[in-house]
Amino acid sequence: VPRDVLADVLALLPPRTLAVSRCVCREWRDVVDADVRCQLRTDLLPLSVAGIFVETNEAEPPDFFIRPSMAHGQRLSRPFSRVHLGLLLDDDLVVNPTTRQWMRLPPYPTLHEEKQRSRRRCHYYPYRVFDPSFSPYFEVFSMESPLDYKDELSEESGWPPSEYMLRVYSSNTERWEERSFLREEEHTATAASVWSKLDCRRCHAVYRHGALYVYWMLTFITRINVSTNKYRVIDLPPDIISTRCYQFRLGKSVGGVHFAAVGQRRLQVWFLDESGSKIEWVLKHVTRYPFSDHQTGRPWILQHGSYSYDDVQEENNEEPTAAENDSGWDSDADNATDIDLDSCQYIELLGLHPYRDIVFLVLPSKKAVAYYFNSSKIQHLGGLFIGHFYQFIKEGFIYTPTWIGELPAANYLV
Amino acid sequence: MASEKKVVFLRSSDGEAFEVSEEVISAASVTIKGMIDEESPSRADTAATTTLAIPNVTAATLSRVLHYVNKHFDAAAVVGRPDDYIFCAPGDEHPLARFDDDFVDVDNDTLIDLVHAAEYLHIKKLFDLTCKAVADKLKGRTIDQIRETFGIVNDYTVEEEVEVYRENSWAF
Repeated sequence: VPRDVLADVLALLPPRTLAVSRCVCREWRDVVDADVRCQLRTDLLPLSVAGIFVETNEAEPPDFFIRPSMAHGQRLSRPFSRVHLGLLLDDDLVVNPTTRQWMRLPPYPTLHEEKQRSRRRCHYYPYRVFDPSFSPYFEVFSMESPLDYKDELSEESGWPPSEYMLRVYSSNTERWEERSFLREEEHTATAASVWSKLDCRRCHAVYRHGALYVYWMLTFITRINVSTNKYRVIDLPPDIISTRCYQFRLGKSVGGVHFAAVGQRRLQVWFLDESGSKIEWVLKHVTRYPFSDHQTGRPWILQHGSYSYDDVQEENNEEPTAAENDSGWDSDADNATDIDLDSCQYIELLGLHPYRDIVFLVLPSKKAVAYYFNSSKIQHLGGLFIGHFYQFIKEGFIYTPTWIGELPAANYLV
Repeated sequence: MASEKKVVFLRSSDGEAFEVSEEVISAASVTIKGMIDEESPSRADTAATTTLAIPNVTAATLSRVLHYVNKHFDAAAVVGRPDDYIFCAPGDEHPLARFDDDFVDVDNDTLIDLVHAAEYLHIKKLFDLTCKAVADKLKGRTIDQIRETFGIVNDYTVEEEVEVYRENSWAF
């Protein structure tokens, strides 16, 4: 296929096929990079981690821990609390930090009056479902905690319920709808046993290959299959609670969904193997605590979420060059240092790298590190000095800017 | 009536000549329309039939292209032969959708030749159709399948291959 025709053909491909085509040979890669991506796939960015949004126990807007090469013009002037693949979601706001566009979701639809009365106090947890390499549209899934079923179910009733009603907003139709998801498997527990374990309503979620995985604190994971309208409950990795871990992150990484836990001077990384007929947790990595010191050339920058802080990015205003983009930790694991067994009392989990075998951690010295769990090496990213010493990290969201398309009826951040 | 219509001959790269209505081919191909317009002053005097050389297109491909052109651009033919529509499924958007599907259901080399011919002759509809057909052959394929289908040799070095796989691993 000659080059000029190739560009026309490749321009017709969806991003996923385009990415595969890029691996075929040099010429195809060059055509994709030179012609196709520039002209026609301008709404997709190459995949990289721009930074990590860090939410602490203090009721402040999350700070943004950002790579130096990405810092240019990225400062956000609004508080956000939910972050996912390329868009942030903060209750009724959807924000794309890369394009600085935001939009407000329409209000939730009102339920039947009767239902509304019985669930007056319930809280909805919104999660965004978005993979721009499949579709430029996103959806927001709003779900209730199992605790909100207390008024409806008796203690002896089976859990999970056979039907799970979610409210779904689609940016394609620009409206909310109620969608019911049917349980894939028989119920395995009683409602009472779930309520007793689930002492906190908080949860977080990841979206991968058409399924939304929602982690309910110390209890289970709900896998919601967006395309088949089915759902199932996945137990947490075995013994995760009895090993007295204190911090957990569900995340997407190489090959699938991962679950990381820290506790008792130990870091565990589990992989959710869904390839066979049975869904199984595979322990990918266990380590005793790390970690030696090694500074990286260009430390990441912490941008505080609220207005009152000084802008720390002033000196970093120059345009990043292509060479800088991949400097430091991202280029290869080889320039990372070996771990040693210096004891660390308490480390915190930020999250998992979406495309590499890396866990982001914060050491007691308040240094953020990338930990390559395959080679047991670490690399320092920079200081993550957030507020006061009694502040701890409640959630970390790995932000990968992937998409610069338009949001419906978007506004711009100033 | 048909006898009154002007025709032109197109000579393929391997020397075979094909007759086609001047009106139809002018509507279809920007390139040939340009050739005919250039020729017209001299033709007015001679009334001889014009033969245009198409050096980039073989007889096999040219005959396929003209088959397509006569279907799509000869208004009289489309309207005058209603039996074509009988085979259209109710959901078909275009009465020639089925014809188009069959037209591009050919082996890769033939298809690529058609893309080239459509590009050279500047027949946009045919170009879009054939490009889309090639793209459809790529969709959902693995890297190795694509290489095999199009006879492409993997010329990456080991390092380059590792790098490009890493960059695109999200797609596998």
